[in-house]
Amino acid sequence: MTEYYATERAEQEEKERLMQLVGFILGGELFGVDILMVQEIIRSTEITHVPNAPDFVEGVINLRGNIIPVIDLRKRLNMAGEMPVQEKDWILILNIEGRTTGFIVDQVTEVLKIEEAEIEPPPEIIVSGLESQYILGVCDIGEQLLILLDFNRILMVEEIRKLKEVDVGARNTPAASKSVPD
Amino acid sequence: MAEIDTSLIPDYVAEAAEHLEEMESSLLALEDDPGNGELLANLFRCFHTIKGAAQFVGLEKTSVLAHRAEDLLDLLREGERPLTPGIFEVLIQTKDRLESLLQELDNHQREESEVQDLVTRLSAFIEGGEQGAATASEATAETAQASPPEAASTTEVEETEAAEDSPALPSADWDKEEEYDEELDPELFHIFQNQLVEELVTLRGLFDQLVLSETPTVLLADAAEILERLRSAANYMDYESLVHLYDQWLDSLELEQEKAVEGEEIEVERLKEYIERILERFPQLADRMEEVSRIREEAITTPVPQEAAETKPEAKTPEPVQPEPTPQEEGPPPREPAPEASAEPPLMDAFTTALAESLEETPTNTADPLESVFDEMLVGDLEALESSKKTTAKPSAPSRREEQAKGSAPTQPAELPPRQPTAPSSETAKKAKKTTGIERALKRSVRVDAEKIDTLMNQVGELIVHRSYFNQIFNETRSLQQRFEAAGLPAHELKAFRALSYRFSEAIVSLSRTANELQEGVMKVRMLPISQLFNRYPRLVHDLVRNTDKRVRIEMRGEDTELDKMIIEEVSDPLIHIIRNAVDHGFESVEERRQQGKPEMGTLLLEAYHESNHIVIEVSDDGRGIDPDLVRRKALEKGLITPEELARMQERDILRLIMAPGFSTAQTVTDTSGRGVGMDVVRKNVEKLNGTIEIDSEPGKRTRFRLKIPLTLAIISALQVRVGNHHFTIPLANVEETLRVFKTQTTQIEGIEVIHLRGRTMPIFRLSALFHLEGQAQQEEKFFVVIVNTGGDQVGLVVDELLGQDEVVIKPLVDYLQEGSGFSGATIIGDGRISLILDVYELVKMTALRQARIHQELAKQRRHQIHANPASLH
Repeated sequence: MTEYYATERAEQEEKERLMQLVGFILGGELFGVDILMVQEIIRSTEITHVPNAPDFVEGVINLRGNIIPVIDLRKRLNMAGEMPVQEKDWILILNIEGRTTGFIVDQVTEVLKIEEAEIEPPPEIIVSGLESQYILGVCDIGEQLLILLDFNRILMVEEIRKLKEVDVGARNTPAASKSVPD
Repeated sequence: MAEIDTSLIPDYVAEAAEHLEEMESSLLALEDDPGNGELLANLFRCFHTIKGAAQFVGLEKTSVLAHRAEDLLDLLREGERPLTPGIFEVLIQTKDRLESLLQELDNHQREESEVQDLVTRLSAFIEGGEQGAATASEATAETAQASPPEAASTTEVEETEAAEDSPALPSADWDKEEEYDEELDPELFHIFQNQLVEELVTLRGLFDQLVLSETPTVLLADAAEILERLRSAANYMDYESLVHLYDQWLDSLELEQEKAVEGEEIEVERLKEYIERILERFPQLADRMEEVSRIREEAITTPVPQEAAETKPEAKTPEPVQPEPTPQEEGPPPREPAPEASAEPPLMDAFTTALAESLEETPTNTADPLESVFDEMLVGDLEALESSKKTTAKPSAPSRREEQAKGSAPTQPAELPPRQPTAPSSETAKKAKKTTGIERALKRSVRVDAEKIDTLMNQVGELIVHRSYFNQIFNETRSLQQRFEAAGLPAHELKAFRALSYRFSEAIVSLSRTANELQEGVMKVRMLPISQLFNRYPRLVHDLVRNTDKRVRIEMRGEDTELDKMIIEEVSDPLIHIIRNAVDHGFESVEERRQQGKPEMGTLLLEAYHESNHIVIEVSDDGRGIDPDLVRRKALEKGLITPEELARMQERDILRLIMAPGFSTAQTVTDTSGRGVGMDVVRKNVEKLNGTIEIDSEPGKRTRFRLKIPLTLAIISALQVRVGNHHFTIPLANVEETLRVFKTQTTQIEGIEVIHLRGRTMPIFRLSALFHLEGQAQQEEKFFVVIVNTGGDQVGLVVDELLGQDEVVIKPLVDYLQEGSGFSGATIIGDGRISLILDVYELVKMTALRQARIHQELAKQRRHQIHANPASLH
């Protein structure tokens, strides 16, 4: 009998599995990313600007000999109230499906523990201009709403490429319309 | 006979051995995990690669076999066939066969083993699944009656060709009763028959001896061994009922064996009965058996009296389980039952026949067929070989000699008899050689995972970055020293500092030396002679001219020139395109050449040499050259260029138009070229490697393509420049020269800044403008211009400062940053900062775009002006 209860309890625990998230602040909102994706968090490193890159790509950094792109998350998410990148900004180095990419955030808070069951689907209402397509879910952690970002979607290369085309196209119009022998 | 390109064999062997190894491990893993799609895909790849390589080298058997296996694996991979034990078995056998073919190739430069049996079985699995395979293999029966005994001579490549051309289908109306025939593979069936006859005669001899023998157990054990061999042959042929019969036979043999141990009387007749039962199945063999018996009897009646007594071990002479050609002597059937005709070495028969044949066919080259007979035998049962080695050495030698004396002594070459007595030992030697054939190929070159070398290369790259860092620190130390000197520090303190600075520089020099050597060493690991590449082309040319009225010979120079393996792979396709173009469009027909007073045979010259850090590959032909007028006309026709642009172009640039997308001067589209794709792809591929391509041509005389490619992709020499506070790296390969230009020296043509350089007008572009950066050169009176070229186009890039030349390690940028950005990668410079590497080709494209934009804007402005002020027209 006790055994039965034990397994039931285990199942219960399974359901209430804890998720560890690295919390960070961006434009006053609290966001979270699964701690397993976070490779490291760095501060104040020199970012090399890459000309002709999409607007939200801040540049590349030298992370122990590897060259890693850095994305300004605020720009990528089209969030209102853009601010220039500052020295004190944090860079979250995430490993997203094998691609190591840095994301600039305002501030990194603490590691949050939430129960998976508490995550709710993204609400219709868009938080401070944030498009819901990049949101995995939200979670009420008392005084604040925690937003879980879908980094796979944010780094969807096809989308980035398309955005870049628009970018480059805009820069070159109207002249680019004429084909040039090359 | 298949045309085998022997020069490619060593490379092929090494490569194929690697794939075979992989195949084996995949197969073994697959046995435990039959549903593993990845393993199947891997196997598919292995077979596919081997097939491709074999086709290239001209190995018909290997490619046919690998092709069939590939087809079957494709079905398995797609899940259209389940992986049954039957299929698994045939795959294992296929792999083994490929391995033996490979060994033969390594040792004799030709394929010897037969593949048709496996091809048939594979085909059966492909067509009908498991059921079909059974059908097909048994359908190997039907025309056995008409078996020409002479077909089974030594295995020669051409013999299977007919069969290979028509992979037999499983016969539809196959009934349960097994039939044995040679429809599917006459040769294989023949081999099987021959073995059967040989062994049956031996068995009959054994059983006859059994009656009188004092050691029946030994004889029975020998018989059992022979039966095992026969059984596996039958199994191999997929004759199920025959296998069953052998099983029964073996059972009774075992029974008799027990009796013999007990000392009871042996029922020899019961054992001999089986021979009759087999002959019922193979009625055509009865005569042949008599024949063989007779021949053996003759052999035994030679003056070697102890032969008969000692023949018992002879039965174990290397008689391979694998079907192998055991040639038969032709002769009238003597009908003598030959009761005492015991086991005579089949080796002997093979020998005589091979010898006779070799004397008939190629009187000067006797060693070869003999050797092949030996080797054939060695493929066989090693155990049998062991035992034969122990016992047969002495008796067999004289008997062989005897046999030769009878059969073909009159014309026998003198060097052969002394060879015979040493035969067994040379067999052993050969056996050792055989089994290590593949190992040898592996030992010559250690095959390392390319990734490991890349990692090593990366480490070396890091080391070079560190070295730059040290250099920078040293420079800082030096300037510090100068400041101290300027500040008037006491001499004795300065002296110590100077000494330190000197030692520091010494240390850096030795570090540099070691780093350079290490870098060179690691690069060398990846280097291969370009002959690996060049050797692929004679065949290509041969194939290209085959159905034309052209004659072309290929000449090569500098084949030993080494370059990075990765680059070899990358330039292979471009070179194929260039060579195809040369053959298709460059060379004239024999007739035309004669009229022009040229030698009928055209010459295609492939040449490679080093030029500083680059390799130059030249492809020249002495054909009709490129007609610039034709190029002009075509370019206009295709709308690749405007007449105005054309008018401004120089001859050299006009030739470059053939590399524009969509360009083709060919009047007709041929199979191989002329569709207008090709040269632009060539240019792209070469430029992807940071290389350049140049064309020059003398109409009516020659054309030359000159590819200049950096030796390695990982580390390049580069020029470091600064624009504003950004650092950029320009591959030195693209840098023609650097200039210091006064603003007054520039002029504007149609809104583009140009400079005049040695009579040429060259557009210059400000990197600051291209990259939307803040540069300072804009305002200055004097600035630096780096002249870069991408083959023919030359443009000047305006930079703020030239920082110097350095070896840099290329690191890739993430794809979305690299594509169309004008950068081919990035590198880390001495102080740890990142410098982007300019992709000059891409940049020039971007500048062209910019140029066009300026054009348009100017045009718009002009229209605007005219519109606003029409009076100004007059």
